[in-house]
Amino acid sequence: MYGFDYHAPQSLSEATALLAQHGAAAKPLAGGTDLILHLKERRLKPRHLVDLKRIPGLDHLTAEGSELRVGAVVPLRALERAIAGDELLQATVGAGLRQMKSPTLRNRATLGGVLANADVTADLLPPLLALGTTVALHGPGGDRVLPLDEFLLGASRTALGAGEILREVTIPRVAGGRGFFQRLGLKRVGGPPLVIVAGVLVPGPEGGVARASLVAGAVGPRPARLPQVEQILLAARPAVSGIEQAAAAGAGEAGAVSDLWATKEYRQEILEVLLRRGLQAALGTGGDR
Amino acid sequence: METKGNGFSAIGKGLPMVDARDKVTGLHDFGMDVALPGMLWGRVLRSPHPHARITHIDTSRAARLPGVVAIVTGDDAPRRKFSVCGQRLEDEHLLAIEKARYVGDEVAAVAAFDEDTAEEACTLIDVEYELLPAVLDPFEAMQPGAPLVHEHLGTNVATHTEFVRGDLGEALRQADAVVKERFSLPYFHQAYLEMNSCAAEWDSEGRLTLYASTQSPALSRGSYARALDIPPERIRVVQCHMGGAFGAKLEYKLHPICALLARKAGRPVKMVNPRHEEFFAGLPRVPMTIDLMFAAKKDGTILGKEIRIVADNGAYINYAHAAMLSALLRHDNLYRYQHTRAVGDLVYTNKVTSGCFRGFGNLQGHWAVESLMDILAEELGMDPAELRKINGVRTGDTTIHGWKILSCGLQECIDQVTKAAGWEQKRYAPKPRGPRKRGVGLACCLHVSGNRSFVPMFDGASAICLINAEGQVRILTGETDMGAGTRTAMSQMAAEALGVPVEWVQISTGDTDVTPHGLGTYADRGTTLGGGGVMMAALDAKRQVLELAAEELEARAEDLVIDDGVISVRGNRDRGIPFRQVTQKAFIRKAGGMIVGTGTYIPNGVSDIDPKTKYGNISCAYPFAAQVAEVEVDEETGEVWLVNHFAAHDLGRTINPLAARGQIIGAVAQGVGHALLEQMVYDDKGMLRNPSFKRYLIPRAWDMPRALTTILVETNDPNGPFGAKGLAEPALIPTPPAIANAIYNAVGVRLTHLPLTPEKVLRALKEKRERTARPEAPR
Ligand SMILES: Cc1cc2nc3c(=O)[nH]c(=O)nc-3n(C[C@H](O)[C@H](O)[C@H](O)COP(=O)(O)OP(=O)(O)OC[C@H]3O[C@@H](n4cnc5c(N)ncnc54)[C@H](O)[C@@H]3O)c2cc1C
Repeated sequence: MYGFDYHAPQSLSEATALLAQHGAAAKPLAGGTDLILHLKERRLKPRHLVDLKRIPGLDHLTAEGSELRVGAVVPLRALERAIAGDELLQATVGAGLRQMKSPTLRNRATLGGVLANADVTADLLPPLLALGTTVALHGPGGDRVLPLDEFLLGASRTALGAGEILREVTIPRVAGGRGFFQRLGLKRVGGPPLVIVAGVLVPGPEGGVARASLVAGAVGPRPARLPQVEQILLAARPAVSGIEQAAAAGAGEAGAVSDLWATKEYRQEILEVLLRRGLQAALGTGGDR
Repeated sequence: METKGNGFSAIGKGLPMVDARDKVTGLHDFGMDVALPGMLWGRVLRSPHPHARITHIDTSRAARLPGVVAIVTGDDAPRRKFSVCGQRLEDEHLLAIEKARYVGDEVAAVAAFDEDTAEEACTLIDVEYELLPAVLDPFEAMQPGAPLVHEHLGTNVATHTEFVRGDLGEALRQADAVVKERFSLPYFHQAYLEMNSCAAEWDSEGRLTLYASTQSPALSRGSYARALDIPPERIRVVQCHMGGAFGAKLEYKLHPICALLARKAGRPVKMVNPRHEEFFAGLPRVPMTIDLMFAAKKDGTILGKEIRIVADNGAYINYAHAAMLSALLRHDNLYRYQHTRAVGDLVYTNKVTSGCFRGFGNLQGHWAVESLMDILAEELGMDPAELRKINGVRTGDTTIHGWKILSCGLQECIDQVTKAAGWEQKRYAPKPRGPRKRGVGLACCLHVSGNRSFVPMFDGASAICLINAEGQVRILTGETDMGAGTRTAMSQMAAEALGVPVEWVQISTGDTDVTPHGLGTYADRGTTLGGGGVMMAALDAKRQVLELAAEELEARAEDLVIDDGVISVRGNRDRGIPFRQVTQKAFIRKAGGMIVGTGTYIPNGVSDIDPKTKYGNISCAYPFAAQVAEVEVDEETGEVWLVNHFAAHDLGRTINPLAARGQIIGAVAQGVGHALLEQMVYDDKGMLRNPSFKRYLIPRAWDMPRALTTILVETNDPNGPFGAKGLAEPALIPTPPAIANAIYNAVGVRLTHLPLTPEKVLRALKEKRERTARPEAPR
């Protein structure tokens, strides 16, 4: 039979104990927007669902000082509100959120769910990676903090160990940073993205950039930084003079693959276009859009 | 603006649909919602292989699962093969016997206490398959030595169709220009919201009642009688409210399988296809590859046309033979050709059976024809609108295939739509710098209002009009309402014919024990033919009412009129009597009987087509259309957006402008899907890669243009009831070629294989750049 037991633990330790006890037969439940579909389509058949939404201390959102700390079960809608006045976060995370047009989805889906899901096409992962986000995990062996880059292992694979729960997400505020988010999908919004690029740049002396963090998503097994692109931009004086070369390098290094939706070659061409457009927008050279 | 001044009281009013309130409040019961006391739930076990011999089926493990009541396999089904109505090539068993022919083929079915148990039981049925090589591409399937989908036929070619008019050689000799191109379309899924479902129940006398949402209870009854090998009079099909169909829900195998399960279980059984099974085993649009040629004179006159089609039938034959015929033939009646040649092969493959989808094969045919029209216009240096006007048929024409065009608004549609779109200015304006370019494109079409060649018996419709003591009018019709508003239109027609308020009229659709046997809603026959039957029945009832009223008013029946429920001598409304006074009188005279009007509408001059030459006037009235798409194309990414759309439709007479505009808007959305987004993708192992709405991309509100202008052109067809012709299907047909033509106008690339994804657009742009760079290269 396709039944399951529903658990609503009241504390983190109770939750990790349940997860540890039932092992692979248990799944944490956050917004359920992804997990329930898996159950419905029988791709997953967990015997136990451990609801994280009743656990005190997982739903906080603090925006003090140099970082934004977001509890794992905070819905995307709350995150959207919290970043309303922040230009950099708007240009990156906010732009990603605007792709998720459905209000019901944003009210229901959680930030922890987005990260734990590790979907290669997730709109929020590239901007969060570019911003240098870290995640705090809680498990039977205690707590640990990982950069998001190390947390994401591959398509739907994360560093979460047995019984471990993603507890909190920390998004640093990058002082003086300028950001962008570019996406090409088959539909105007929603639907499968073919390419996502996001970036955060901090202007430096001589028209250059002091910090560059560029990420491509939806092209390979997981969203990934583009170190060559970053190097080119860091070296260019002024930075805008490096845009063409950086964009061309990005097309090569992102490890684009072919799938149902597009060929590798097309993805590479689009990467170049979107990188160029994003960098032009962030570095203020106008661009076409 | 539409209600005033047309001389009618109910026709032309933009009334909300009769079921709108129930739908928006959630009270509307669809076929999926039917529940019978004590019913079980059924599920189908489908083949996971595209082509495999079934060597053994062991159901014992499934039978032991608690809650399972009945299991059926090919052994429980009749040995005889069947097919859809009018199909002579019967190639299908109710459940696979010996072989499974596509991923999704029905192999067994289970009835259990609940859906989950039935589903789980399916996983416990052990089927031994011996895999056979599959043939997936129709061109490969036509090669000698290709694996045979149906061995006993000795070939994968299900039907070969060929017909000629005039002498194409002559056209080529006289021609100043010859253009040709290959076009193609993939499988498109109809994406109706309500999944296929059915509830079946047998009585103690062995009579079957099927509750189903089907486009045709009558065709279903006949086909299911053959599938179940029982006489049709033992089957009653009750039509349920439909949650969309778009052609997919004529006969469907789930229904007789449900009956088989119910008989074995001895209890009612309900079945609902899960969504992914709708993709795996529905009846999507017939994919076609079309080679098309035009031969024309300098002045634009098209002398000759040749079309060759290879159509993908999938594993079993449904209505694809007729869809292919319509793709070969129908658009020949849009322009005044003198010489034509058409050759088509419908080919079996180990993929899902292809069937009917709004526009039938006419969408496929027009995709090619309306694209090549623009190629020809370019070749001749003519404006595409002008080229179409020169060649377009006109009122009074008998076309090359014998179609009698009694009303034709093609020229007016072209004039109005190009004017509304600002054609001249947009088409020829210099393009701005920067990567985003705009362009406009035109496409036209004609369609039918009922298709005499579709099923062999007859075309036409009957209805019954009952009027009770209180003066309430109930129409019984065998036609169906797919959600397009057929019942709303019919109630307006009945009210108009009777002279009573529309609110007094109720429409009951198909129940094969009660209603006349309508052929159903397809080929745009619902309003024109079904409505014609309703009008005749209402007029018959009115005659009876007036006879009684004549006694009351001491006047002659011929001198009486009914207006807004008041019966009076013409010109003397003040001394009129209420409609209800007369119906009360009828009630007493007939000892409780109702006024019963019966009506039959068989349009004039419609004939079956000649089986060999395909000559014949297949429909009573031909609707026309012209649409202009305005697109924006990003030259760096290949993205295409439809930014504006203009649709002009000759629908004969607007019965309900709100419903008519709704049909056009919905159709354009589907057209955007066909043009830019949708396709069912099969991998090289015969597996469908995108069987969900997450992966099968239908457009949403954001993919639609900001502005969509609808123009209704009224030509008052002499055959249509109140002059009405079909609309719903032609509303979709011109959209994909209009978009392709607009892309060409925007960036100068011609795309011929749907859907026009950004990757295809970008590749074509690159090839164009390489082509234009070449002449400068050293020779
Ligand atoms: C209609 C629809 C439209 C969508 N559109 C978009 C879109 O446009 N762009 C986009 O990027 N995405 C889109 N999505 C995907 C959506 O972002 C994900 O479904 C969502 O992020 C999952 O969050 P959730 O809280 O609902 O997670 P759940 O479904 O509850 O969980 C997802 C997975 O993560 C695990 N998990 C959840 N929380 C934790 C935790 N704290 N610790 C450990 N494991 C955890 C669960 O066990 C499960 O495996 C869409 C989804 C739907 C249904």
